[in-house]
Amino acid sequence: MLSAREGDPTARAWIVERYTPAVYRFCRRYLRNEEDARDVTQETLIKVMRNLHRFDENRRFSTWVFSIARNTAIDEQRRRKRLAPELKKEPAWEGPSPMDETSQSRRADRLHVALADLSPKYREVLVLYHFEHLKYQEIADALDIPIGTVMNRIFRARKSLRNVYGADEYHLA
Amino acid sequence: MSQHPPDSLIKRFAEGDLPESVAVDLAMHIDKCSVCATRAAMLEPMALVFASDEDPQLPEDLLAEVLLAVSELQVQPALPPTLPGAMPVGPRAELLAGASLVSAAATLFFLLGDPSHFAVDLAVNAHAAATAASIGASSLEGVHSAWPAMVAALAFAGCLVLGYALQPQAYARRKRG
Ligand SMILES: [Zn+2]
Repeated sequence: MLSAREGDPTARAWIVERYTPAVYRFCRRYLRNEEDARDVTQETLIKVMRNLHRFDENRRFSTWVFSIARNTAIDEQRRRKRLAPELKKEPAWEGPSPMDETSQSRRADRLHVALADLSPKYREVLVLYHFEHLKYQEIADALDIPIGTVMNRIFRARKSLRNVYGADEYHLA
Repeated sequence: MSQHPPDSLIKRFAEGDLPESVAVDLAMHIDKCSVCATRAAMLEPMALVFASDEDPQLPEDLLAEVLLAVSELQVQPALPPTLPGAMPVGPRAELLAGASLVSAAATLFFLLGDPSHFAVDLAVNAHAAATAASIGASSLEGVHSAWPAMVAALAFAGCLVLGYALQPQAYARRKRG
């Protein structure tokens, strides 16, 4: 981290290699469009590198990276709305092929549709918690909201997903 | 919360059935306790659904693209602290700074200089050129290569040279007339 701050190219490349996949996964699920996810991922890593000297070492690095990714993704959404105000709806999820008819992929497809129906503030907490496995406090730090708000959003998001799914389908047991 | 909470509580937590204050306490315990984090994940009603989702595949060329973009950043000189997207960087920043200096000098010249037509016209022209260059430079926000800033800088220099070249003639014409 220190060597990356001082401009050591190996350390900087290590950060890019380590965090690009996670940032891309987050952006892909949050923005649900490959092209936008690519752009936001690249912009996020550039911002991370430009602002390494601002990173507060009391925070977790991944939390800080996700907070930059999330803010960049929100900017991207705003820009998209400015460019095409008539397109109120975000683009539909470009999921796996509809030809793929296994029950797992059908379940995943339904998840993508259900996630797409959530508003961004609910989608982001779910993605960070369930797919990026951040802790509750880390999500609160990344989104700069109280942990109680994180809990509320997660519960409400999960409830609305459960409404989409049948009562019999989602239990592990 | 020093002991592991009972299954019934964790289940109600996972289902979002607890008052916020209790849920927050439990969340803080779960953040620190891997045993309870696993229990909460097992009791989470949507666990199977979330597990069914495969991670989006990183596009093959994206990592190389990001590495390249980041390595290009390093050739720039060390930058003053900037907020993401808040300040212009590189040649654009220098151009803006230069334009502002010229603009300020022109204003001073206007206020303190020789109050002849020539002095006034020169100051107003330089000020207009500097402002135009600033607007041109700031409208290039988001463009990361150096050439647009160079074009703006050349346009700026052109305006100044024209201003200096034409003003004495105009002044002389006015004096004759
Ligand atoms: Zn525990």
